[in-house]
Amino acid sequence: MELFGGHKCKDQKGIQAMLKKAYEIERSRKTARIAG
Amino acid sequence: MSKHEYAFYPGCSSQKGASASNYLTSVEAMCKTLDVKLTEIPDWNCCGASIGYAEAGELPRHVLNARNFALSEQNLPGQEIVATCAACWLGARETRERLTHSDTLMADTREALKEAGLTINEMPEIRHMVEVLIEDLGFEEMAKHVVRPLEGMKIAGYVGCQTNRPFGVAGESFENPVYLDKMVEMVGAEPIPEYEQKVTCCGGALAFSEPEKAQAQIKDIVESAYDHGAEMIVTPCPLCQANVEIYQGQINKRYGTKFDIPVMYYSQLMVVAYGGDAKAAALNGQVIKARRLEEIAAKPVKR
Repeated sequence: MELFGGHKCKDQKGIQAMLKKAYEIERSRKTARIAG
Repeated sequence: MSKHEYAFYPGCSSQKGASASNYLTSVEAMCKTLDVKLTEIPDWNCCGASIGYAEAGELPRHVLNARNFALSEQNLPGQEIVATCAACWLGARETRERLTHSDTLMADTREALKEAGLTINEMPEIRHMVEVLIEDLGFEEMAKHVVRPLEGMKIAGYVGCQTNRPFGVAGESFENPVYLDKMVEMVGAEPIPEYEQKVTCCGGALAFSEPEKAQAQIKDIVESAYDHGAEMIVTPCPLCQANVEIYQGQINKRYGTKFDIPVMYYSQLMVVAYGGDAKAAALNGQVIKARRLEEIAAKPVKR
């Protein structure tokens, strides 16, 4: 919903860094699962 | 000091200018009467509903909710988190369940949170506002404040799915929850316990992507309310409120019906019953005007 401008957090930098790390972790776990 | 204090997670839909801003306005007035203090979690973020489920992946979605938990713990230690939005409540509840039962997910979440300078030490309780009203205050306490009963109004309690499945409200049946009916009764109106569409899904985000299917479901929800003689529908969910009210015009065109039934929040009914005016109950936020409730809200209060 934030995409529509209803609410925006102040700590955008922190959120982006947090989500980037979450994607990285998730991707590495998926890769590990596929590799068996 | 208030009798009941909580960390408050309002969610995006209740922000100023958003579809459920009237929900927030009426909740604030209701809480003032009931001496419930809600302190907004500083710099909270979106729960990731809909978009999170579609694209973001599991861990980022949980991390978004965990950030709110961490901010709550840091700024409002020891307070339970209360959400008014059913989707926010469901998303946060799911994250709580998953993190509590998976050490790996918890460790991954903490690692991601570290990037935002945050951490979680204790898992907070996540409550929907209706749980607070029913479990912490109780119907008797809520009823004490009724000074303008909504006499003569017949109201269908539409629970929807997000506050009902999979977690639900404690003590309620998944098939036939009755808490909304009790709330309708508590404000002096007549409930419809046999309203068989009370837990049907409103279609959620399908209203955008599959409008025909969503509108078929909404038609059943509205039609059943009319069939039972309701003049109004009440709900605890912003998405249900928006979908069931907004699409009645399109449904009328598609099916040749003449639906024109307002869909309200429980908090709006309570504010009017507690003696509040139309502004305090945010009745101007309806797409379909609740004329009868507006008339009642304009009447003097019986004290």
